[in-house]
Amino acid sequence: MLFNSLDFALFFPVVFALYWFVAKDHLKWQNLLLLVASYFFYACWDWRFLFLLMFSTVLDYYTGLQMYDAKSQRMKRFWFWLSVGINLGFLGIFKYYNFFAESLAASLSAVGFHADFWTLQVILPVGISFYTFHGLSYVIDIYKDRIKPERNFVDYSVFVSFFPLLVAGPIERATHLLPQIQSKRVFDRNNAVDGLKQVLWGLFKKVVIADNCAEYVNMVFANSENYSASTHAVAAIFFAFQIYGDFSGYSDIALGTARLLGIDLLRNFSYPYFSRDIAEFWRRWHISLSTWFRDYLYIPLGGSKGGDWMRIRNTFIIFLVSGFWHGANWTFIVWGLLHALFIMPSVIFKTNRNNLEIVAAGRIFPKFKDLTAIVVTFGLTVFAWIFFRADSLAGAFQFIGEMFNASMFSKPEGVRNTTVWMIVALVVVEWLGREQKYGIAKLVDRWPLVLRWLFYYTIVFLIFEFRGSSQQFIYFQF
Amino acid sequence: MKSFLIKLTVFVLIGAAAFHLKSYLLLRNDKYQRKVSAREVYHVIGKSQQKNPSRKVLIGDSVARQFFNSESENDTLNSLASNQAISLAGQYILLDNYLKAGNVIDTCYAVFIPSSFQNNLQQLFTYNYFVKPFYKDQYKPLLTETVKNQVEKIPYHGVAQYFGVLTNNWAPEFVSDDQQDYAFFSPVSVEYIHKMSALAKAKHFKLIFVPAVCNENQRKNIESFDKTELAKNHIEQEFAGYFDHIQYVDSKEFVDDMHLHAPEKFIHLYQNQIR
Repeated sequence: MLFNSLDFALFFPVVFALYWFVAKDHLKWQNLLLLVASYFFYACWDWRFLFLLMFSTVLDYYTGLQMYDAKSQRMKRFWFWLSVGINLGFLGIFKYYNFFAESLAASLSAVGFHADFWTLQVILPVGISFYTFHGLSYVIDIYKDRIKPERNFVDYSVFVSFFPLLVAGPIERATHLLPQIQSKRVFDRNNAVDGLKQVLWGLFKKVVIADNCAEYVNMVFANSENYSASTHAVAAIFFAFQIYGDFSGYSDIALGTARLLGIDLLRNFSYPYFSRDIAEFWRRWHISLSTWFRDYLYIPLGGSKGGDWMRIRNTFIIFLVSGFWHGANWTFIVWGLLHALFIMPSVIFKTNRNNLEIVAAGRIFPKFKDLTAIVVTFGLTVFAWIFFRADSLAGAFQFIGEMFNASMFSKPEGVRNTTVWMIVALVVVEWLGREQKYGIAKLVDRWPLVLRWLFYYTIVFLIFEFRGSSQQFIYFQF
Repeated sequence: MKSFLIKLTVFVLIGAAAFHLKSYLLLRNDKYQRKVSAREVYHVIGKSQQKNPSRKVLIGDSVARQFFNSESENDTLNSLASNQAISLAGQYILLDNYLKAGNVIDTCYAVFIPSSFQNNLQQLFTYNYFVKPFYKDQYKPLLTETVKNQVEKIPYHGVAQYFGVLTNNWAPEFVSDDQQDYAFFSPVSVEYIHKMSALAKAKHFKLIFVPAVCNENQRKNIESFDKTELAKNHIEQEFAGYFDHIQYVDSKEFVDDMHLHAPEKFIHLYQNQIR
């Protein structure tokens, strides 16, 4: 069930009505309803994988309790590694087994040995990387004595499988979400209106920006040899907007939907394409994953405390693992590696925390220096996205080769004006709203009611009239 | 909560009223048919219902349409080429319409690339290209049980003729769970090849299946086709020579896997087959 589908448009109002009218004032019923709704939502993808989600939930719930109640450190460690091992084992089998088997076979064949490894013909369970990381953060936090385990199984299950975040995040933390699940939710009109606006903006980003860009990107990447260099460049830029519109649009819908149910989720995006360097980009892109890796990998590895070499090593590890988290393909690993290389100058010269504030705060136009930095940073991310989008490394290199030739100055083929204008609208609105939680959060708040509603109707109109052909959310595959 | 719900209801009602008004205005005089993504389908449906002096008619997929544009008029060969997404069931309806309009023909060219015959009304495009334009009461007598069963598998097929849905490009998310146990000829295609043959026999015209120009990168796949599938489906006669006459063009000439950058460069490839 996609957020931008009619199914979800029918599903959510039912959940909303039951949640606030039938189960209101009864926290247990509200949580039970959320759990049933979440399992139904997940089962709409593939009910068979619901058992995997349930198993993962029971595993982390049980091992969390066992760790906390363990009489010795040895037993605590045992339950911890059991949980981590099984969680990563599932992820490894479903997501990475074929990659390792095929890569090993290719490596052996390169040195003259022929090896046929058995490969799995299984579909990747939707959202497995997200709910596995959810569970892992919970288990690690208990092991490190940062939190106590949740004893209410329903509450814990809602934490893992809350439907707005279940299939593509944000990756929540027990310390942030569990207390909200445990406490009574009161309907807040302003919060609900804000949630609706965020859903609307998310739908615009997904349906108008991402889906339209996707049509062009798919066309060029599928037959790149047939297009001019300038067409390649436009396709690469469009992919940058596609993936931003797709994933940040999804996150906006998830956050807005959760807010309508009285729950605040972690922010996942903060205008990453207005970043002035790669370090800033990573503080603004997929924030819940970046902070997860920071807290559960970078810092345990020693972070930046052990001198320059350790910082450099840890940075490379983080970006390579982050690339690999996205998918079992060398293209994602190279994408991670490129970002590690791009961020390296600021790691070495310790300038990675130079741009902590949003650019040109309180002003309409940025300084020339900032604008240049934004354009350069955007250019670097666009270049790296080519690897993310390509089906193989050979495909990525071929695409890059075709992107730099004399036809770079020819007119790009097949670009629709409406797509370009919609991207311009997105950039302008997000620039104006960049100091808020999402693009249109406060943009028209001071306008008279009629104009405000006209603005929202315009967005609805654009969603209906200029939507691209429906595409699966990219991050569902991770 | 109360004020939130009242405001939201008012907002939704105004939006819904505006949406329906717009849909209604598009429905009047069939304006929507020139606006939606399947506009070429509505165009050929309209064209198929008109009288035409030509005694040759051509049906086909979007590759055929690149060569034989259905938008332009031609007194010797009337092109109703549209899109593979309408399936052979849709193509049959076009042909039937054309004959019912009082047109007399001596030849019908059916120009398709081989993969067009794989359409079993199980595609994402089926809703906009087949269900909306063809799954109507007036055409239902022409539809087989296989077609009806396939359409009924598509969610929200029952609301396709509702004007709020009909007049725009909305289609439900749909992933078919059909098991494809054929190489090229789907059950729907086979049924309608037989129906077209029967129609040709009854109305005394020649039905000639002509292969549309194919991408060189498809050669291996097409040449490995096991022709026993033709015998199994009793369509050897209709496809005698079809697979032997396929013309392959270098991949660089294609915009995607199927459509050419400049089809006019290759129109001569049809000279011997379509006169």
